Amino acid sequence: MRKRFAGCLIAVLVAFVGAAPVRAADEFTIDPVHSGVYFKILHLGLSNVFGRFNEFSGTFTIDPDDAGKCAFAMNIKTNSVDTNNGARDNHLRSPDFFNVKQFPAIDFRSTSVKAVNGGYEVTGNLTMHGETKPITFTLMGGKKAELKGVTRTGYSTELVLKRTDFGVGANIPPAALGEEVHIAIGIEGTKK
Amino acid sequence: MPDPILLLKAMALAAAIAALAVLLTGLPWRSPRWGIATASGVLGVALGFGISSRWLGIRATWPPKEATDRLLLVVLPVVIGVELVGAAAGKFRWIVWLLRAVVAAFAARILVDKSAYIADLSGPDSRLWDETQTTKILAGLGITLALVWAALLLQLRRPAGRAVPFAVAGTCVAAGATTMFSGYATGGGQLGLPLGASIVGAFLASLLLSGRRATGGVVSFGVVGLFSYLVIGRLFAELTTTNAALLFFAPLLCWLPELPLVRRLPVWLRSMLGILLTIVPVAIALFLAQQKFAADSVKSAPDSGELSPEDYMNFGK
Repeated sequence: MRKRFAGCLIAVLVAFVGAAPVRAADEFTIDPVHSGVYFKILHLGLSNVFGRFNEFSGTFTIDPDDAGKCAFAMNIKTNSVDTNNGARDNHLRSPDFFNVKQFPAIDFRSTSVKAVNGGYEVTGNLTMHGETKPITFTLMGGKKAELKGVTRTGYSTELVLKRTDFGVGANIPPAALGEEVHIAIGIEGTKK
Repeated sequence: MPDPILLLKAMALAAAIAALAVLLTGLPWRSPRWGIATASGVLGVALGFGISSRWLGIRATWPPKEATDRLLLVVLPVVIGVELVGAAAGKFRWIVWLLRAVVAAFAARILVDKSAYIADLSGPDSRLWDETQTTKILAGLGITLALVWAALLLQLRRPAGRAVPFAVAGTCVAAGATTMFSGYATGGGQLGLPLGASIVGAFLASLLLSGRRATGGVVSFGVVGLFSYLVIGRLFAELTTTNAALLFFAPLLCWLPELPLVRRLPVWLRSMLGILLTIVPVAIALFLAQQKFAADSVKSAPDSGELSPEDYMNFGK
């Protein structure tokens, strides 16, 4: 009798656990129309020159219950660099800077994600100009919205990289072109 | 544009080192054997170019990541090795022609290694040249280099051949400026100019030495350097095919004074004519590159007026 009761209890528990709503991680694709990758860099120590990359793509996975299961990946086409000046953009595409025919993409893959207040602290490997370095930044956001039946969410971040860590413009002195590149990224993703 | 004074100093340094290296290896003999003279020439030009480039801050990374790394660390050292083998080969000098053909066949392939042209760097089937295109382009470049290289070395043996090192050196310097206008400032100004200067230094020093002039190694270093440089400018920067072709074929005009009607002219006049003829396509390439640069600048920033290269390339000192 006691064995039968125990068996029933286990069956009920299993059924209960199985029926509990487990929220799966959501996968999103970056919407390039509502996302952007911008940068600024100090020129001659005077003022910032601004630019952006017009072509990029990526995906990210959000698990609201387990930040460890979140992941972010982004690929930026270096050829799409745009500083609103053709001659300067050509120079940026040349081996003096990005060398786009040798290194056509900047790639980021997260390796760990931690939840922080209002977003995530993301650590991952950034590959640029043939160099891969670990970087960490904080992504803020995570609100969701429905648009034409598609769930959207978005995050943004600002980070600072040293261009010479990646060998970009290695022969251009820091006094002439700032070492630090300030980057602002906003991503809006559509749920798959 | 990098600081012109700095570039002039680098050119002077390159020429001085190349000349000194040639004189040091040649002076104890006064009438150096052909092999020693050839070896001193190629080592002199390599030293002059290498030290002045380093002085300008050009650093190549190992293992090579980019075409310029492969030029400095693979292609040019191989050329030095080939010319030294040729200098030591004695009566088996045909070996050096065989080795030069091998260098010509593989130089462009080495330069484009792991690039978007032949590798799928942006996903499957993203390479810019398919297998057939790759074969045709690399074969075409290899044959072109081999033919120009051979033609210049053959011209070098003729009485008016002393124009050849000057023509190659001048073209290297102009190629530097043209590539700089084509959006590659450090590779342009900082490699082409020392290369040209070191060729002139080594050649002038070889003229001071008595005995047989042996500047084949110097010209070989210059021709392969020029070729590689133009390939990098064309494929990795914005150098146009027209300008690359004008510059690479320009030294071949040294052959024109060998035509029947003008062959009777004095040697010095034919040499001078060869150099002057070379200047024509070189000047056209420079002009076209400058015009394109100015047009690109104005198109993008119409309110700024005609911008100079310094606006983007002189990063201030």
